[in-house]
Amino acid sequence: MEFQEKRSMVNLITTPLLFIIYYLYVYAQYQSLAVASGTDISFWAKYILILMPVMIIPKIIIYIIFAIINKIMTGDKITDMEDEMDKLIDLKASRNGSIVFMIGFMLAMVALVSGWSAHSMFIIILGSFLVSGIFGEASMFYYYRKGV
Amino acid sequence: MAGYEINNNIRKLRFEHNEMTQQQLADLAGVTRQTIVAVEKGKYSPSLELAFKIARVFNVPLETVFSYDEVTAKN
Repeated sequence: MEFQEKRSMVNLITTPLLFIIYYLYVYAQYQSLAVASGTDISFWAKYILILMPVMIIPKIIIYIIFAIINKIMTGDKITDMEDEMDKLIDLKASRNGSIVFMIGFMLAMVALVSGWSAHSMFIIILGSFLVSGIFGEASMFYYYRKGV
Repeated sequence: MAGYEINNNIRKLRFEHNEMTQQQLADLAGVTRQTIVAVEKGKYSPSLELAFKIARVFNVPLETVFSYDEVTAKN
């Protein structure tokens, strides 16, 4: 398995893991604070905004650790080089992830229109983040494996 | 209408060039080894620029490295 395939595999494992840990933390906060229905939206919006750095920073750290372990195990040089095939795969995987997120976003809007609570809408949006992230990483792994 | 596919002779050319490794070719063409592996296996059709770079590494015309062949139906 090549470096890029291994990297996709690591991301495929760490993305849901980080997300679930974060979601459990947020949900515990939600329960303990007994958020009033009027302040629901600002509570969830705040935690969705925090989600971005929470996902990015550990991923960078995990990538560095993975690159070092891979270097020790295989002896391959650590490279952050991105060539035309990497860019094309990245683009296609992002497109697939974005489509999934858009579907999730539309579902969240449908839920809101149907009279569901703001809490449910944010849960659907957070779920869309997770599923689109997994789908994007799985696409990347697939394209590296099967070709593009 | 007949289909066409891009084939390549990279493996043969590497062999003829003193058993050049995929990593060596990748370094000379300025791409990752993964990309050379994918091109060699026909899993990725390179850009025109990369195709010219690969041909230049072997010092041969583009047509010697890549060919655009008609797909023959297999029974």
